[in-house]
Amino acid sequence: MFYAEEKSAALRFGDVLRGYFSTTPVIKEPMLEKTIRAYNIDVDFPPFSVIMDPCCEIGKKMISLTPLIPVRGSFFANPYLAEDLTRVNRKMLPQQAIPPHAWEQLTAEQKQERLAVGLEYAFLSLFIYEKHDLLPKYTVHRKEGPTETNCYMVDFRNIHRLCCDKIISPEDAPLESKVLELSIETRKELRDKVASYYGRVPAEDQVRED
Amino acid sequence: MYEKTDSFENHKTGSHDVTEDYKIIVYPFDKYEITIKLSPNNEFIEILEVKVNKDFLSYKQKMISKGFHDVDEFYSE
Repeated sequence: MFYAEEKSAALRFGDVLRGYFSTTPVIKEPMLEKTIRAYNIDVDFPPFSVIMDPCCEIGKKMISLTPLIPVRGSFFANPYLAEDLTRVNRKMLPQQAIPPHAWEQLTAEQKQERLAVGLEYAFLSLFIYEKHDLLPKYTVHRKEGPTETNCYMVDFRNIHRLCCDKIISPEDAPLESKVLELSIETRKELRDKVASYYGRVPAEDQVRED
Repeated sequence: MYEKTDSFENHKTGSHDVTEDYKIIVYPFDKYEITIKLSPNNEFIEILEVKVNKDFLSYKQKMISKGFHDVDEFYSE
């Protein structure tokens, strides 16, 4: 079960909300001098946003959100993912992470190198939200033809802060904006993947750790 | 006009370089890079530096150490 059957009376990590803006500051380059150069702040009003704060951190008139966005059409080129897009959320084998036609084109050595990675995440910054009647269907345009879906995803790189006077604590918050709540199992999957996204050690640091 | 000679090549105007009578090579050893000073006849003079070679991981080791499947190249939109 991807979503909780009954929503709790509090905002929780991974909840789908509606009614919140998404903002992205855009600059051409860092403003290292005192002169302020031209900049933009892109403001979107996505139909749905997802809470990216741990449950106990929600409050103090502030919340971290990321917009719920359409899934990548290219996922459907991989039958393993197309069968169940939420497999993106879990660890998978190397040959499952790559479309079969691409896997067949790898050399024996490349396959061996990838097989050595074992059971791991692919698409580290992405987490799929399973279809639900409350989420509208949309069309994904692909070379092979259009595909209709109502699966969505979040990209951890889109996380932004939003201030709202009514968000005092998880329970003392505008609960009417809450659309869907993840099941405990799915929330754990989201937590595990976010932790993995931030927890990976870059190769350079691994050298120093040796 | 002057004829170019080694002397002009090695002692440019304003240059205070001393003509080098040694050469420096970097010798990879295990996961280290050892910088060694040798005479023109390849005789050992001294070790100048020992540092970790950050590229000592093989491609296979790098793939394993990533801890995730790097597959973006197979999913262009």
